Amino acid sequence: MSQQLTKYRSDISQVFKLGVNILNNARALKGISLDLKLLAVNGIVQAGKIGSSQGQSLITLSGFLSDLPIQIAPELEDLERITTDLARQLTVSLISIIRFIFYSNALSISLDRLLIQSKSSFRASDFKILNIQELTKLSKNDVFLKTRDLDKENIEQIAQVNIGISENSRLMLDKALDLLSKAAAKIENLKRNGFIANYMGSNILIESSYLTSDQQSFQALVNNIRNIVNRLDTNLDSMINSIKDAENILRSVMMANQSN
Amino acid sequence: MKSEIIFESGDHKWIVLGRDTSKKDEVIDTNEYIIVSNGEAMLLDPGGIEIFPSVLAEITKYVSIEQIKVIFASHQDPDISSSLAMWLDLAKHIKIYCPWLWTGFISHFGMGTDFILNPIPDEGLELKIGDKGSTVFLVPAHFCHSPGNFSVYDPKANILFSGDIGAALIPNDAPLYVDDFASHIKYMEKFHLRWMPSVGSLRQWVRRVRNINPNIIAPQHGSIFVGENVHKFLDWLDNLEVGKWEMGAEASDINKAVWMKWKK
Repeated sequence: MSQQLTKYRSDISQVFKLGVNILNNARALKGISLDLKLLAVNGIVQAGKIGSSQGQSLITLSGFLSDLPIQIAPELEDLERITTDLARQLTVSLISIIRFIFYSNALSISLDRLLIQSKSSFRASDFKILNIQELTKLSKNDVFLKTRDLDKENIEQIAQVNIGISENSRLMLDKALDLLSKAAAKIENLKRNGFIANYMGSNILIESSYLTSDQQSFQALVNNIRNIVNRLDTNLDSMINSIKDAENILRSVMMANQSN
Repeated sequence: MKSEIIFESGDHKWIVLGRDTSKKDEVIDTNEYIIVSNGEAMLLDPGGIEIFPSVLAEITKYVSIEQIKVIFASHQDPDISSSLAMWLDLAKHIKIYCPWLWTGFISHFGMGTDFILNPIPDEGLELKIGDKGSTVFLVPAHFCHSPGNFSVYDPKANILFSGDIGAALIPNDAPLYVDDFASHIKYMEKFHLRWMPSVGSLRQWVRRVRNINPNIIAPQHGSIFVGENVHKFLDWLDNLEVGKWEMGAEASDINKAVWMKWKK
């Protein structure tokens, strides 16, 4: 397989892997949301034991905190749905693009045979066989002037099939890009919620510093909140990075098919 | 990939493709055959998806894609049928024939294309190659090795395509035609002992083929039998005790240990 085909194939496989990573990360977020909920409940229970006005303010803060997982639940569901659609869309695109690669490979072998036969100095690698514009005029290229009609007809037919697949793949990849940007928007919302959880944790820490006892329990609670938010941030950052990488590769793949 | 015309008479010819040195080592070598009859072509066991680009590029030396009217898949194995969707996507007019038993299974190779398979009934079929080509016969070869399996007989060329029957795992430099049958047996024997499950079905197939009396038997793997070697091959098959497998004591012990582990 030629270098340009090998790179094209490896790029597409890479996007597929990134899509699966994004989906797995999105699914892992559900566990983090549940952990946050349990911590908030734990905070309410501890604040209830204090029984003073200080306890009341801590109950209120922990109550806000326990509302966060409820608020982010629909966002998480949306994100999981979007990333599931994304993985599905990438799989369908991948199958279509694999067909494109196999036809391109056949075209490349045929072109090399014809070019060698005609003692041309050109080789298949000198043609941008992934590119629609190049495919459109391929069989009419001057280097094939003396080529048999049978061969020109066959090149034309394979090229036409690949133009069709390429146009169809572009629509599929456009949809994948759209899903990637939707996932990125959801992730930004979730990051904001993580920031709010951290902020609540800081407030709990301040309030609990006035307590004569149980300070350590609240310190531990806030540490746990920060750990969870850090885990959330790590997951979301990893997703954002995967999304950026996937967007870049997809754009370059689409460019290879479309550019002049 | 190499190709060679193995029969030519007027507007009727057979071409064999195979010995693909560009394929990965782990991909088993296969023979693909094209019958070109009065300008219309039939492709027999087109090969797996891995070698599709090489097969397509090689076939286009002989025929235009538009000329390919029929594709025949003798059975369901991936080295035969995993490329079918690619062929159909390339030329939607192609009619693909495969054993009815396998249509639902081979459809899993659809790769998102409009994938229509024409089922071959158990008793076989008379099949015209396109509108102008000659007629070939799809001869039942069930349980040799697949439970839904066919050979193809072309009376005009007197060639029988036998699929996996007569298959041999030969070295890359082996000749296209079997020259010394006795020394060729070692490449076929293990394959047949393992892959052919039924002595009765094999004997029936041999009887059927003796009645047909082809001059050439062309298998999907290995070298081609011509003339006297056709008879030697059929005699050899008639005496082959297939469908038996006994584990050696050592293998049996190993498996016992594995079973015990599973039981836990």
